[in-house]
Amino acid sequence: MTSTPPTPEAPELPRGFWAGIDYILMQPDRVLEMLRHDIDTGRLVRLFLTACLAGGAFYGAVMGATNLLQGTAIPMQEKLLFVLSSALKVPFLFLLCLAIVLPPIYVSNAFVGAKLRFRQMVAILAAGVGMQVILLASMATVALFFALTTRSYHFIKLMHVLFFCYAGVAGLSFVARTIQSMQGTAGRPTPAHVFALWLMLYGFVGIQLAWTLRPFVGSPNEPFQVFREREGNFVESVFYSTGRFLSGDDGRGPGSSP
Amino acid sequence: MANRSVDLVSLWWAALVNPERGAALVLDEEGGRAFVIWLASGVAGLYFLYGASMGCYRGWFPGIVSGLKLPFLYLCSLVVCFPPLYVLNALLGPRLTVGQCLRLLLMALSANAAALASYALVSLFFSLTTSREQAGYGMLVLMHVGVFAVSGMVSLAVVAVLFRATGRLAGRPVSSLFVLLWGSMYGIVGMQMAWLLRPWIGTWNIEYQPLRPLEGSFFEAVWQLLQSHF
Repeated sequence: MTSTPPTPEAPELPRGFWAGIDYILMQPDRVLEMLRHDIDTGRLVRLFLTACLAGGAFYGAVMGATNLLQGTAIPMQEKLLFVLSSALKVPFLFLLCLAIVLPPIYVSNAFVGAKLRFRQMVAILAAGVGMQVILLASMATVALFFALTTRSYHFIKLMHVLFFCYAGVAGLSFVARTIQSMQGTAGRPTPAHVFALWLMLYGFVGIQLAWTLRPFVGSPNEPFQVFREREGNFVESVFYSTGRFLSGDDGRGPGSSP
Repeated sequence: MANRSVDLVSLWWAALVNPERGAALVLDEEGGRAFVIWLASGVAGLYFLYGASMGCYRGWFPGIVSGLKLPFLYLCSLVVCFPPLYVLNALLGPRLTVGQCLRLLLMALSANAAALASYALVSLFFSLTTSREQAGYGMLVLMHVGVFAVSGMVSLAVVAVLFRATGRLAGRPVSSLFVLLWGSMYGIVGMQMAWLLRPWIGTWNIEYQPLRPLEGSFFEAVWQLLQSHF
């Protein structure tokens, strides 16, 4: 797969937001082709970033609306603040994570990787983040349904962790396919162990960032706060919630929040 | 008008029993939007028959309520799941358009609805003749579980063949991972929806209420049930 010049019937991104999203989902090979040959990359990146902002805000609003929908005891004003803050935090989480991992990934790509150009790297990572958020946003109706019909805080929390994992795995496999098919100026694809390191880096930064930006759902036992104290860690919290959920605690009683 | 309905019924039935025909119906969007609306109402009608026969154990009013709840269960689960199902279809599946995807799902539901509705008379007979004691209620529950299981498996056979034929015709074979993900996504939402809409049969031990207050989720209930037995 060398960088052949684009053929006359080069792939073209359709106009309009929904048509663009549908094109990305239905024609991933064409999108890959566009990234590889740097065709219309500017528009493509803009579309991915718009999707990230809009989809992230939508899913974030659903996350933050849990207390509102379940009718917990905290005041109405705080419930609305949860919706607003989560709607801002989810897109911010993805974009900040992108900005943090970009420099190390670009430098190692230039030294030991395929030597992709900076522009290409930005486009690929933006595509990865955009794909993740599109997948996440597609789960919003299911998340909304469960927020409406269940009562357990721990259940909702674990469900969101699961949905983020699904979006992460499926979104990153798109990036993996893209990166492995691009040979860059070094004329070779990125070595697999370098790519594995990137994935680990992305995973760690993403999880740590998500943990720092808590709360997204909002514990029914705590007043509204934009950020929580720096304490505990993600893995511990997932285990804690799994344990609480399995022992039948819905997270609404006093002293049941981690 | 009557003639047209007969045409639609025969079109639908031919598509169910002949997978190639079914795939063409899904992909060519034959019959247009009118067919989709007709199919959705047909599915609702078939589920109504079985739901009503379930609820008749407690009388005619619970019968109507259960009859209305059963189509609501299946069709609302479809609405909730549609965005992720469509995205999965683009990622791993045959990349059907929104319209084709909807047709395929409705065809699958209609197979299940037809299989279930074919037991409506059997179920009605048992609802009217089973005793009102707890033992009778228990037997009725078991019978309904059995009917749901059998009709589920029968329709699954049709649905699996229809999915494969659609994938073949669309030029992208359908993987089992995709079918598993679609099935479990719909199943999980459907189970929670079913839990939410209880009671379906209604025991004579407590007073009848069309819907019970919201308590926990299906998963918590199953977990607590498991815990109480081990």
